[in-house]
Amino acid sequence: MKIQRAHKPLMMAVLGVIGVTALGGCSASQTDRPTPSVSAAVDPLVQIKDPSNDLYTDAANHPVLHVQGTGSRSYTLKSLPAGTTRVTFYVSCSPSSRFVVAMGKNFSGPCGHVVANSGGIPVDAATAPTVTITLPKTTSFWLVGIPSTT
Amino acid sequence: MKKIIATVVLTAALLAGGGVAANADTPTAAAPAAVTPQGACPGGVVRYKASDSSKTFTQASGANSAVTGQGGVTLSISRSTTFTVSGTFTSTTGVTVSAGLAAIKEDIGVSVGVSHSGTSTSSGSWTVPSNWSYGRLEIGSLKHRGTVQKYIENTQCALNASGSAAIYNVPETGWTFVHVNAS
Repeated sequence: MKIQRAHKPLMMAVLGVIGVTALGGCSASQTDRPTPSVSAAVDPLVQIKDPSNDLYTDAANHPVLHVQGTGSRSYTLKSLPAGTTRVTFYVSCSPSSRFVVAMGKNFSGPCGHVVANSGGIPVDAATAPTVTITLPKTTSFWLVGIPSTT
Repeated sequence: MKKIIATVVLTAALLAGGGVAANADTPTAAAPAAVTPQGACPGGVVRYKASDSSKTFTQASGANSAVTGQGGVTLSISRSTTFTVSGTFTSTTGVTVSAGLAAIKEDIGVSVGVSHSGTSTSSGSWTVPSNWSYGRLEIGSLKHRGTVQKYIENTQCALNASGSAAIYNVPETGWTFVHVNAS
């Protein structure tokens, strides 16, 4: 009993500290709650123009499409170089989702904040070269199209 | 003096013997103590034998390991992406992971690891056949499934199984692209 009495003030102090800490923690977690970090989409031309990157191509200096946007969008390719038989598209998008790029035919892949794949779509001379990218409305993207004659 | 002469003679004989063997390029006779009867083995030698029961392609984890397109579309996967294919090796008291992987390499003829991770040296660029509605390009590894058994060779050169076999389901340490008709 004597021991309990002797420790009573100490125990009260400890409980008080625990209580204040707990309340403080709650308060802090509500105001300073970390938001999930989402990397922004990086312009694919950064990789395509980098000679050390496996996606590098000389034609990167003359893209027929180089746009940034959010959600689904359509673009018309006004002037394709003569002899163009195919346009290779590179997409970066964020947050995680799945994109579809269509120009007559389509290709699809996972969203990544940097380009992870590409799709070369043949140019159909009979149809207007309109490119459509389909994404959730809150997903931001970069879309680059590089023409080729092979 | 006798001792010195004997030593010199013995040394000369040994050198001459070595020279003959080296010139003729024939195996030297083993010392009498090491000679065993023909067909007999020293006994107690540990050997491991791997048996593959299946080999299947396994797509690398992560969404970036596949891309899909319609017929006529050329697909490729970036070589800068790091891919991973995981496996399992259930070792036993007789067969450790390292001994088992070495046995697979020797008996099956492929290099494997419990897990394979890294970048590819190829983009696997591929054009979906025009008569396909959709095709999918996937990157992954060939995964081997089987067992590794430990044996102890007796003096009659017979192999006696020792303990239980280890079970493996492990990827090759290389990348493979597959083309899937996703029509």
